[in-house]
Amino acid sequence: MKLLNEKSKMGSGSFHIRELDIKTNIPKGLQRNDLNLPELSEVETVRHYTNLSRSNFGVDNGFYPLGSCTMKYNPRINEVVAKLPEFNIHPLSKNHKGALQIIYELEKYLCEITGMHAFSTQPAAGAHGELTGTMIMKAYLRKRGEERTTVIIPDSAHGTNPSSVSLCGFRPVQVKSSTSGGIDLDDLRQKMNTSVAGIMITNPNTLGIFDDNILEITKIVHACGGLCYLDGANMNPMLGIVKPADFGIDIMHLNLHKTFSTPHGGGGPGAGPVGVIKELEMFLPNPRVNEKLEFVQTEESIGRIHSFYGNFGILLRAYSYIRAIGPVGLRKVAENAVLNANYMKEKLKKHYHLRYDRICQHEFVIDDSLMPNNVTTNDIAKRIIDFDFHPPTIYFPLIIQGAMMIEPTETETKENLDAFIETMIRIVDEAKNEPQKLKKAPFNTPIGRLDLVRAARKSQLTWCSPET
Amino acid sequence: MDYTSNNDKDRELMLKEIGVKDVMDLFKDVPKDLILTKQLQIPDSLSEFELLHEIGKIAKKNKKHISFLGGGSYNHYIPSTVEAVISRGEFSTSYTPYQPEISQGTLQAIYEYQSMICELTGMAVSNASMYDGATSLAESMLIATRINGKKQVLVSKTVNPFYREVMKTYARANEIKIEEVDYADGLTSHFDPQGSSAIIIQNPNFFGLIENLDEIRSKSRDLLFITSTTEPLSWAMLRPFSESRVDIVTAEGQSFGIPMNFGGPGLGIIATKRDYVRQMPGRLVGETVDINGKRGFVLTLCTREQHIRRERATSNICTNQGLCALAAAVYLAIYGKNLSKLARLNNQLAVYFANMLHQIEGIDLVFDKPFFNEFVVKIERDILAKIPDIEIGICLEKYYPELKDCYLICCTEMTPKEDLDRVLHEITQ
Amino acid sequence: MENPIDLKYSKDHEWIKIEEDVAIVGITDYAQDKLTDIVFVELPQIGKYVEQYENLCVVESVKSVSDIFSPISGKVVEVNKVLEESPELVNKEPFGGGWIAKLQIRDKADLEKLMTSEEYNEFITGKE
Repeated sequence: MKLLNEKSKMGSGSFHIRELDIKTNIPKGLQRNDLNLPELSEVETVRHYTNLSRSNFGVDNGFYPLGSCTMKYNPRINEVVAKLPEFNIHPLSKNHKGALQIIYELEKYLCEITGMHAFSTQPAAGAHGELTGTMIMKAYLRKRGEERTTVIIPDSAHGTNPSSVSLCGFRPVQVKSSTSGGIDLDDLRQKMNTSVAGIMITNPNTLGIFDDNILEITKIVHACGGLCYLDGANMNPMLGIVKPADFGIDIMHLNLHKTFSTPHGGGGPGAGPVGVIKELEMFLPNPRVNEKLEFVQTEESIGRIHSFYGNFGILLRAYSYIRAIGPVGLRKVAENAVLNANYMKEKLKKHYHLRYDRICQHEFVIDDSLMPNNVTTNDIAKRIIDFDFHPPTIYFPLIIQGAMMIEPTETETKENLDAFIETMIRIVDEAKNEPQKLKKAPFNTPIGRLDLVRAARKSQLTWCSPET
Repeated sequence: MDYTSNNDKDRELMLKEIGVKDVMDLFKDVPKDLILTKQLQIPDSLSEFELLHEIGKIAKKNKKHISFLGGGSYNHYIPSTVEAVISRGEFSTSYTPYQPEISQGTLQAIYEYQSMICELTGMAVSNASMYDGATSLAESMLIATRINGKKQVLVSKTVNPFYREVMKTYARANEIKIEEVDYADGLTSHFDPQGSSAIIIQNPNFFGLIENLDEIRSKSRDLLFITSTTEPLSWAMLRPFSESRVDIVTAEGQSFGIPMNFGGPGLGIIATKRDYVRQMPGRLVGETVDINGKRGFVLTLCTREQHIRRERATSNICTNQGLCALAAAVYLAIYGKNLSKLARLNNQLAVYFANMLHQIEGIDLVFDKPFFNEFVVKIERDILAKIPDIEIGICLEKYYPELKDCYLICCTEMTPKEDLDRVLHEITQ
Repeated sequence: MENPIDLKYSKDHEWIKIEEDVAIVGITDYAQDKLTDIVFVELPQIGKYVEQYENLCVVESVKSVSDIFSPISGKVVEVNKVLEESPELVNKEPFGGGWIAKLQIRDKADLEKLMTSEEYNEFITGKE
């Protein structure tokens, strides 16, 4: 499709402004000479974006089993709530009691759901929450006068985990997964010592397995004076079932754009609130909201981590979601997410290799090791697209070669799951009989398989006028 | 309300297929004692209309007044097309475009966004966006210390105080020293470039004033020159940063079609020179071709990022603010070249208001320097008492104790001349 | 592709060619094949001193970042600037135009720890 700049026509812009007859105070020398933004009429602009949207795939289009991303349905009412004009206020306005009530109550709900003592809704995304949590770890150690330098991270972790801790000057130390898919306890014991600030775990982990040694793991870390951080990306199957604080978690973040149904927006905005136990509350980012609905600050806080108070618009949507479905609905989310995942796993393991054949939680990981004719996970993913599904997360977690991580979520019907399963079985047949076809998929998209190597070697990152 | 889709019969069939009797059998890895036996203590579910009624009551506790608040969040008009585009489910309910063949909408829109940011700033490369203005700036500080190796940066006191706080938070975790540079007559004053990796300023600065970029550049020789902008509408009127040899441009892009929303979500803008592209945090969209030679767009140069480079990544950032970047792109496309006129209108309103206020006994313009759409005035307290229902501006004393009784006033197209005249009338009554 | 007999090889799949006091370093055909399409070579800094088996530089494919280790100790005296524009040479001509850097050799004894082409052939056959 043509780019905006290629459609641009001088003088066709329609958004006219009536200027005032007042002389500017800015000297000519400081002003720019020209501004080469594209010029399109309003209808052409609308068509441009409408047509672009038609080459996109969202949860609204169909089944989106992208593992670890929890692509559940995003209720429309949340969008209505988020757009109530009264909430569109300036962040420094003093007429903000309603906004503060939303933040305060949402924090309380998140505390009740996770068992944590206090939450800050300031972090703008999951990775931002990890960074905040790690800073809290660091502030806690500093206050105790302890010099600890490493953080233990399982080999199945999201890439953000090692990256977040090293951004805070900690060295990540990898702990192995056991043969059953949890953390290898012997390896953990061996790596624990007094230079370990803590552990950063994902539970249920990225294999979709709830680590049945979780109590032992947190005990080992605590015994050495370390803190237990939970990457809460996989909170969905725990809602109303179990509280992370009860298995020894000291700090955690949630992804409101995963568990609490706020739309992913093609990659954000999200929100990654951080929760802590009582002992760590004082380190949460400034400012916080107290029960009188006032902003308060603490001396010990790690400081501010966002221009204002985080992604308030996202907080509103999550608040609306929790209020809409209530405690019964939350538990139903967990139960149905886990049921859907196990159903798919049982059906698919007859056709694909499943490394860890055990009960899973919200997701599971199969791989391409049984595929004939060198058909790879990437080929399978591209072929899935032809059947109007979004492919699973691929090549992650790194510990499984050719991984396909499938997370159906609770909002999908059995019919959708069955249709996806049938497609996956059909692809196995194609791999046997028409492998060449798979190598060229997808076929039903506006564009074919794209050349990533060319994009990286000769990187072209902006539109260039043909004249230059 | 409830958004699950299966009925009891479906569930029964599925449990049978799995070979368990009860759904709770699927939670057998969770330590038994930890399974909750009581319902969570949160309010019961609501129907859609009850929900809207409940939250509507809370919303009404926010009162709306005529407001001249700016300083990092701006009340600009949002063209109706922006909302129409970003509420399309194909855009709003998709994930990061990992599968380019079904994500060309997001990818092309981001590519166009990157191109327009580069046009506005004069820089060679823009990423697909960051969380907000403050974190874009903090990450740039980290880039600078990586490139130049010195764990100290200079930051002007005319940078937004909240942004300086965020920088301090990031600096503390990374053991970077922040040296604050004083201001004189509202502009960044003298600094000693020795021993620092970067000089960081804001333009227009927190007081709304236009900094002397060329002079700062000439004084900072080997340092990286980093700028922050909270009101990027000014870019449509001012010389692009590239002309003053700025190395990294950052900004809060909320002005471009994103509601104030009590401070978030916003849009973190970051753009730099070609030489530093591999130091860039976050997603980048690039052009390529498909197997038939047709042009398409993909996420590229991903080896900088956390999912590949893990602990050695340029940043831990994963998601960007995709939908906000899309809103900004639609906003810029709708205004096009007319953005310059909008910028001039903002400036004209501010100049008019500043001049009129200055003529009032008891009100003084604090800095006599060119500004864009914000300016600082000193107002006597009894004048303020005449306008209790107007949020006249940000009280600066809290952040700058020396600026007693001073307010930062912002004008946009949403404070038209009639509003300004009404306020002037109320004050002079 | 044959592993040339006039080169020495390391276990990390780098090759080295001696030209008087200077050694040319690159990666083997086996390595480039495993790394898939190279899209970027982060060339070492001229003047940088590296110990044997220490990190010399980094090469990137679309989805991976790999360390290249120096087969010997020495000072980087020249880098293959052509790779900045044409990283694909590492794939196309691993033993020729795809060379990465030239090092001034500190101690020729380092070479004794490296494999001959025959030993290296055997080494990679064992890996398959």
